[in-house]
Amino acid sequence: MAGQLTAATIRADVAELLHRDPAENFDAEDLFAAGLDSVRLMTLVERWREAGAEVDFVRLAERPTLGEWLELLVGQDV
Amino acid sequence: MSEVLRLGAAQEGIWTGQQFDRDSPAFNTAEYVEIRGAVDVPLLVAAIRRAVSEADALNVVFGEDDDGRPFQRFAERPWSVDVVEVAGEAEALAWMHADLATPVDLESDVVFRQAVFRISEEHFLWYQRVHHIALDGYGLSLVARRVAGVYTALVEGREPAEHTFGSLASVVAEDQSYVNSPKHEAAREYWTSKAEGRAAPVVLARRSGKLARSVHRVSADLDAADIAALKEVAQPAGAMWSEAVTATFAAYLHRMTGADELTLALPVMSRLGSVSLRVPCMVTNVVPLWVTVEPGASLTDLTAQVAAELRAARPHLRYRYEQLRRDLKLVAGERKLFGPSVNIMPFDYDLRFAGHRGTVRNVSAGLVEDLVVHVYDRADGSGLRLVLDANPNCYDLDELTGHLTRFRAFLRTATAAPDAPVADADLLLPGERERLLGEWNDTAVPLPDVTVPELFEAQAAATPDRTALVAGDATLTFAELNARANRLARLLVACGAGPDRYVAMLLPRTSQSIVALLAVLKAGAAYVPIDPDHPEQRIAATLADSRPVVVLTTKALWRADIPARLVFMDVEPRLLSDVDLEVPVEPGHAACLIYTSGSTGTPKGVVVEHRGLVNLFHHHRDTMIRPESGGTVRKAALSASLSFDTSWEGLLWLLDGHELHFVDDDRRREPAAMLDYVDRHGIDFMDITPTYAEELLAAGFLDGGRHRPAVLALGGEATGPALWSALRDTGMSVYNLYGPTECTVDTLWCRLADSPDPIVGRPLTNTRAYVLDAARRLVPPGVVGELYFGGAPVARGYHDRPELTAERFVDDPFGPPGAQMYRTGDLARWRPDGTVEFLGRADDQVKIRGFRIEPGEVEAVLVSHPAVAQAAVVPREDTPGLLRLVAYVVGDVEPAELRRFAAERLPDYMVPPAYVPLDRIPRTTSGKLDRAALPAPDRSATVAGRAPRDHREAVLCGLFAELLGLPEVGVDDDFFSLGGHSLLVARLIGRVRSEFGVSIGIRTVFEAPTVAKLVPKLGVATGSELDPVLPLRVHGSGPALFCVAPATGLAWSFAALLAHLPDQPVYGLQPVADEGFGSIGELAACYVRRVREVQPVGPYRLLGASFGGLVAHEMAVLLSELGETVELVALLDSFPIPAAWRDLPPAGDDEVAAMVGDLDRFPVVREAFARNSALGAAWTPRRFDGEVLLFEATEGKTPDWPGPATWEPHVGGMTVHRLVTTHNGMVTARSLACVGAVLALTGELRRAS
Repeated sequence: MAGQLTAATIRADVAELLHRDPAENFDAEDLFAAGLDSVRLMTLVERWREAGAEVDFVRLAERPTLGEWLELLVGQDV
Repeated sequence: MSEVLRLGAAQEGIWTGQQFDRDSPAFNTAEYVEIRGAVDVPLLVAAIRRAVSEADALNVVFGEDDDGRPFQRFAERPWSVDVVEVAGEAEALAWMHADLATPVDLESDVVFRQAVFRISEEHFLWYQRVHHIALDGYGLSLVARRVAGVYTALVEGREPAEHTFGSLASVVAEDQSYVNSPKHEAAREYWTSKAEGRAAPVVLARRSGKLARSVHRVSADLDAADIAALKEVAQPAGAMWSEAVTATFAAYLHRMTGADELTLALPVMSRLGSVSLRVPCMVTNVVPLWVTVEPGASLTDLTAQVAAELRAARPHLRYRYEQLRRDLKLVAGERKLFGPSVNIMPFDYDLRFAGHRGTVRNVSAGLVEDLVVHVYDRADGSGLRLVLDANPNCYDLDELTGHLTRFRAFLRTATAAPDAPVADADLLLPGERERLLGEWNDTAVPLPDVTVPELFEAQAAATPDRTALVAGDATLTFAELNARANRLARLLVACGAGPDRYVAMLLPRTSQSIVALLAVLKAGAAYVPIDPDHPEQRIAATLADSRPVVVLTTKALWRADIPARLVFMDVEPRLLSDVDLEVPVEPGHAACLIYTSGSTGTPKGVVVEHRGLVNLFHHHRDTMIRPESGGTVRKAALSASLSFDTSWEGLLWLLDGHELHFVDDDRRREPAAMLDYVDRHGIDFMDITPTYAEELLAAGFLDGGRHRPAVLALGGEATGPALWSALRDTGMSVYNLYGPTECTVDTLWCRLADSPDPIVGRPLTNTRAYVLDAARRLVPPGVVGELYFGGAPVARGYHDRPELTAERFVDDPFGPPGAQMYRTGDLARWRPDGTVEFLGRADDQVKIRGFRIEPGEVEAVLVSHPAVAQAAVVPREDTPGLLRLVAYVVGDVEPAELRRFAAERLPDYMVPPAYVPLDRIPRTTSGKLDRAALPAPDRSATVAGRAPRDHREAVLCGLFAELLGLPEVGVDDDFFSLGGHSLLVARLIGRVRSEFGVSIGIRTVFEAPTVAKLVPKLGVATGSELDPVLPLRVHGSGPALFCVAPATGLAWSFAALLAHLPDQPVYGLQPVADEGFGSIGELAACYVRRVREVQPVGPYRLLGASFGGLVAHEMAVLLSELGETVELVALLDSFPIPAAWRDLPPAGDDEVAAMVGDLDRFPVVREAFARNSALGAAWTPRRFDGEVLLFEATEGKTPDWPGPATWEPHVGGMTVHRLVTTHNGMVTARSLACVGAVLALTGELRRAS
């Protein structure tokens, strides 16, 4: 299960919720400024938890960039 | 741990709220976690203790510093975790609810409570109750996660990880730095500009209420299909389910209220990008969300709008709503910042207690101002939970449950068709349509195929000799009435009257009117009633609009200079046959054309058909007339003008064989006279407006000993709660009848006994009532909508106004094919029992004393005045209970001129009494009249005080004061500025007629609204003020009262007796001019001759004040000598002058002036005084064998004043009444009121014996 949470999945999920192109590089952008709110964040948390990741709302919220999330989540599972 | 901190911004809001009601437990929030599995209770208790001790906000007490600023201080307080054994969840919940009701003293108490409930070995509940000042929902979730983490570690035998909570101090510091940041300023700009020009927020509540200490709560789970549907709505809109659910609620609010502009309150957690992410504390803010529902908007559109608004608002979510309220100056005002609240709670509640899942349930989310829709997403796969919290002062629990049920149903309907207009989604629950259209409108009964004349002719044939009509001029049997109507009908047919043609009636309020009405109907035509009181221009306009084939009138009334075929009823046709006519009249033919106010500036005529009247007759006959009359013949009073359709309420009794009393103008306009009529004739039924009912009550309608009608019908306007309850338990059967003219008099009815509060009742037979929204869809029971009617009462439409007819008479989608329904413009809602409650108007139309008025029509008339640029007419109730039209006018023109101008063109009830000049008419940004900005009319110009200068002015001042309910009125005071209105004008005219014997028109009063201006208009040919005989009231029944003036020679002041001696002629006798009398004997002899000119034979009634009493006594002696009966000799502080006084010096000017006031004619009076005093001093009384009535003044008398004993040798008998007044005070209004009361009583006693 854990293996399913890849960098590509994370990127695709975030892009979907923010209506961005996953191919675009927005890794360093402040996701809150880009339209991420608590409901969207919680949606990601739920989705990634279902995929087996150890995800914590607060830890993601404290690091609101895709780059940091990839580091946090992908690193954890690899 | 003694650090002192300021409060965070959100905490301050809660602190302030708690200060408003310090003992309120409403700020307690609570939730519990349900654990299905074994729990090591001591370890759970340890975990709770540890987590709580780690959260700063749970370890403070609060206080206020010397400047009144709140602070918080860390303080260790003893507390424990309750461990409670319970039999089940219900018992635990009861415990929790009891605990929630505990108020918290923020300055000393621990702000939370912790408890563990053990239901069974494998079933536990952990409960925490926390004051909202300490934690918000997110804060609770942080504590819960920490407890779960610590417990799990303890169970697993591990040392728990260090906590990661941030400090409360960091949050407070961040709040302070935000306030000083440019972001704060940007947010202020964002919100204040967004808020500008917004409509007042709408709510679902039917009543506003104060904040409560408790909350009504209902809840339901949204299932997987609901959630999937919401996500599907959100997806194409680029939104989330949360935005879709918010939009759905906005759509619901829109549909339930009809409002297009909605202001929701959105609680926001305001933690993203903040240090508070890790701090269990209270930082929640609330922001307004404005949603505009454009016509045709779909749920997808609204969801996209909500998402876009929230995206734009995201940088500004920290801006405190308390501050925004201050910025918008909404703090002191009643006006709210938001309507209902939608609270999305997407918190991370994936809790594991040593492997067992913890399911969180909220028990209380704190204070609720109006309504909160909480949506809990537990992020644990348990779906969404919908919780509705409401202020119990605004919502009943049943109402709230209704909203939950309906909103869930609406959510399913609306999300199933996200691209259809939300206006199309059905709001009704299963069964409601059937109830609204079937059960509550189950009114169909067979309607006989007859017309009004057929009903009357059948009755006349059945009871020819029964009294049908009692009018001022005649009493007619059914046969006589029918015969007169038949003759006239034949004449009308010869003049061209026939089906669907009009015959206008401009007739006096005599039997002629009723004869004419029946004759027109018998001729197959429709009558057009025209009120002779209307101004000529109005009459001309009505005739021009209706184009009657003939006008029935009298020579006295016909003034209009317009070409029309006239039939004068001064001589009724006698040679024509009086048998019933054979005219082919159908139920669908017009019966009458009734004009009502038109908003565009001209009145509109409603074409009422026989069908509607016949239906009304059968309904009233079967539900009211026959059940109430119990098989006997009753007397029904008709007091309404025939120009109003409500006159049919009385006419229907005639059609059923009862005796109709057509009450004349003088009686119907004067409540006391009306009551007298009701009493004297034993009236059994009357139909009146609520305003008139209130006047009758004030005049003693319910006083004991007086006859009351058995049946009373109220109609024409809404009945207020006070009148409703006053008339409920009076022993009368009281009916409330409702209906617009466009629906043939009545469409809804009820008995007052049916409901403790005012309602308008349920539909009549063959009548369907609908409460619809703007798109003409049924609104659910209890929801406000516009009232429509279908069925038999619906009139044909407006005469010659196809566009207006098409606008108001529309296709009835709920009736049979081709049916029409009428749009009333009234707002109403269904009550659960199937009765309708009236809630006001959807437009500007007003009802004043039952008269229907379109302010637009009045404005149009005012603007047609060349000097008026703009005008706005609004009803105002500046004096409680007195609704008046006030005209606001831009233009250089005097109010009196405008009043005159309006009175020439409008019926009296439409003429605004008050005028306020303005530089411009204030308008709101949307261009509507800004009513709040309109000043009240100036009423400072009241009772200017110039006193009456002659008896006519004195009488009129008295009438003004009496009608206006004021102690006194000066001659220059404006009747209307003092609160006069058209009904009072009508009564004034009646009183002028009885006091002066002069008929003045209503317009005369509008043109001459002060006593000084009105007197010359009376045209009373009473000669000079100084004539020896001063007729104070020439009309009346019974012997006149002759009142001899005191030594001043002036009898004006006796005018004050008039009010107390209704219906009696009163004359003053004035020895003011020098007529060369040598003695009182000569004077009296002359007066006897004058009295006998007025009244040739006795009995005579005499009165004299002071000197005048001596003359009256002498006259009584003379009349007795002539063999006449003298019924009354009243002496007002009058005594034979003691011999010792004969040599006193004559009264000085000051003394005389004190008696008569400042007069132009002072020298004449001074001379008369001296002359009369001398005559009095020289008089030696003879003996009058009858009885005298002496009124003795008790005040200000020297010991040498004569007393009643001085009369004893000179009278046959004497009754003495003592009045607490001085000698001169005896002829003031106050004393004369007492005298009048005694005289009236004496007269009554004499009549009785």
